[in-house]
Amino acid sequence: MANLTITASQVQAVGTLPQIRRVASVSIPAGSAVYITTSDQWALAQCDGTEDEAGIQGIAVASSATGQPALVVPAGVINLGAASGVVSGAVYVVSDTAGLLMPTADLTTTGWYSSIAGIGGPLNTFHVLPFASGEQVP
Amino acid sequence: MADLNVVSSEVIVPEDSLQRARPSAATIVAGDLVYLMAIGEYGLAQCDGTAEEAAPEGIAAHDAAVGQQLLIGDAGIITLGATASPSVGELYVLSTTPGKLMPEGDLISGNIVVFVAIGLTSDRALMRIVPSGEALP
Repeated sequence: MANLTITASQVQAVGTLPQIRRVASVSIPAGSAVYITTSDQWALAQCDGTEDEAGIQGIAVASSATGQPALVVPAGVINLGAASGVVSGAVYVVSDTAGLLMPTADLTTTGWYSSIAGIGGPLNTFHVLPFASGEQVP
Repeated sequence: MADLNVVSSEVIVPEDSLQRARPSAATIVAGDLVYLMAIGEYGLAQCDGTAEEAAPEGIAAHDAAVGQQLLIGDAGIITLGATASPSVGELYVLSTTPGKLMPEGDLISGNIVVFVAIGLTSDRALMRIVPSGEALP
């Protein structure tokens, strides 16, 4: 399989959701999985770096350049857009490509961290349920 | 002269001036001036439209597509970027182009005067938004 192909302009929060604001330490497109850096800023999560980098905290729901504030949904339902290819019922994890999401089946390489981002819903919706297990693929 | 050529990725709005997020009614990029629409969403402000459109609440702190939440700031030292290159001491006002800033000298008769910022350095300005509600005679 492959990473979800999320188009930033298509990402929408569904209804009113809590959103956490921090400064973006890198350019963060809407739909990206993010973690908190040691300087308390958002950065793009990835499963093949450090445990901290795999520590997903939520999904960005607007796009921000470096140094700009970024809004992140830590839990709830968002829409990833028609281009995303999200599959209802499928579980998605943090990808080895920074900020992206992939199906659990793609978590195949020894040493990659298993960090659940959420579960696909109908009509391109996505249940944000971040869980950074800290466990690595054996 | 012309509108400031603000590149959204170069814009940094002061953190302590950020207002609560509201949905965007249009595609808005960092550095755009926005007003609060009657429906509670942000739209692009301009000086040659309605009185509502010429009453900006602040400047977008990041990019937002239609329906996405947007944070804005309304005061303090804003980084507009080296591309925008504001002139030191120049007064900038709301433009006739939705969301943009232009030098005060570009206002023409009928435009509503909205003071936005004064150039501080080659990439920064002191933002203080003052919607006068008055049109240039």
